[in-house]
Amino acid sequence: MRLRLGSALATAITIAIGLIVLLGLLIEPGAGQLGSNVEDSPIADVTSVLLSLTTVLLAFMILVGVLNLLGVHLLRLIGRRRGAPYSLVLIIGFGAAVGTYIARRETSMVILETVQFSIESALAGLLLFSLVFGAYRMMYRRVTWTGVLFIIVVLIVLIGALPVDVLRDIEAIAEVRAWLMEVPVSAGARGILLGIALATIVAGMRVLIGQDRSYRG
Amino acid sequence: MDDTTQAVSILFLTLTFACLVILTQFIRRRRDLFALRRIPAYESVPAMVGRSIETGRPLHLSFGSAEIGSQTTVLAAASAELAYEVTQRAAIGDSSPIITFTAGSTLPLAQDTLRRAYQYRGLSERYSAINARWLPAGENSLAFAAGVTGLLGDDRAAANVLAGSFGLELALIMEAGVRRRLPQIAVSDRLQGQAVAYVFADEPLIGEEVFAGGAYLGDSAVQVGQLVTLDILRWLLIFTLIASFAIAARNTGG
Repeated sequence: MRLRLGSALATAITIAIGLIVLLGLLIEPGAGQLGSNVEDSPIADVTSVLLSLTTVLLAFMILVGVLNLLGVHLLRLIGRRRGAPYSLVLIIGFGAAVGTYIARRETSMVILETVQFSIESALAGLLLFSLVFGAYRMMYRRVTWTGVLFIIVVLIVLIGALPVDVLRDIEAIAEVRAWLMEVPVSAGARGILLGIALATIVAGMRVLIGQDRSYRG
Repeated sequence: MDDTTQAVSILFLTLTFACLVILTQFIRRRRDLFALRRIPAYESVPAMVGRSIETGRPLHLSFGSAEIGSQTTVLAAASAELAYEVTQRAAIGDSSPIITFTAGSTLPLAQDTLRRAYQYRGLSERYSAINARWLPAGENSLAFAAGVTGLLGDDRAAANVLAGSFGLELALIMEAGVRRRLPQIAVSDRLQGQAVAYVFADEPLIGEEVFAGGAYLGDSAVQVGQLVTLDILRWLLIFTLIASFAIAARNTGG
């Protein structure tokens, strides 16, 4: 079996750091039976340093993301590919935002409030229509009992949430809505979240024991 | 962290470790030991890849706001595993799949996923780093949704594979996909995004099924071992919940 040095090194570093952080979190001073005897654990200190490094690195990676975005749009502009005018707008917008932030911060805030907020508000408004369209499409595509149930529940919850006095006075709707939110919706949500949490633990353990290949290069 | 939480955490981790190691060995020796149940979304992936290759249009894959270095690190790795399996199938086509995400720290993961997939096919020269694309930024980003919507048109995507962390903004992306008649599969670790994925996707995935992508498309013993371990832990959790309920009911009754 051929072993690549880079891959083995990446695996070793990942396992070592993963185990240190896991131990640091489990045996942190004062935490449970194991941590009660630990006053100044070096593992906890190392864990703290590693987590701080991660935070710094994450902040830096935003800059890398911005460079990636600019690179993609510059290449599109140079290659005169489809959507190149939009890329030009993006690059000009980026330059204007950075330039005004450095030269006159108030102008930068005006750009943010008049352009960014307006467009995002419009998109947020469009979300409602997208969701209604989704519900319509669900029934149009195929009528299944789960689809019908989904639509009925959505309608009851929406009607129950309408700010109309006549509907608010009908106690049955309010009670059904409250029951739906407290029992089946809450149970389903917890089920999905528990499933994701379990899968995260199992996949995380795969990383710790070197079975995961997604970072090995 | 109190004593009980600490003890349960260690017990849980030990059990997960033991199951993963032992089951993987069993599955390596007998591949048909555990049958995987059908997940139609993963069965539709070859058709999506075929469509991409035949039309010469790229597949669009997205991790959403899944991020290396945060609570969604493992989710990002699972999404990358799915992206790898899809990309190495689509690598023989003219158009390279495009991966989008909102977290800067996911950029190296996405680029490496594309690079490894092309390397696996012996087509490293076709790998293009700019097909991993960051869009601004963070959870529930409408700017991300707008960017992806534009990308679907400008790059003439052939299909959408949206597996990662999404909120309601997923509705805008998937609606654009529907308008362009793209086949779509979607899943999110967040409840709002999951609800949207269920409504819009041709074949929805639910919650932790995003972690099963590698096992269904890659079929390695390690990945199947992960799924069987997950099933064992799930049944254990169900048993524990029912037992806790029964004990609490008996104590209340007594």
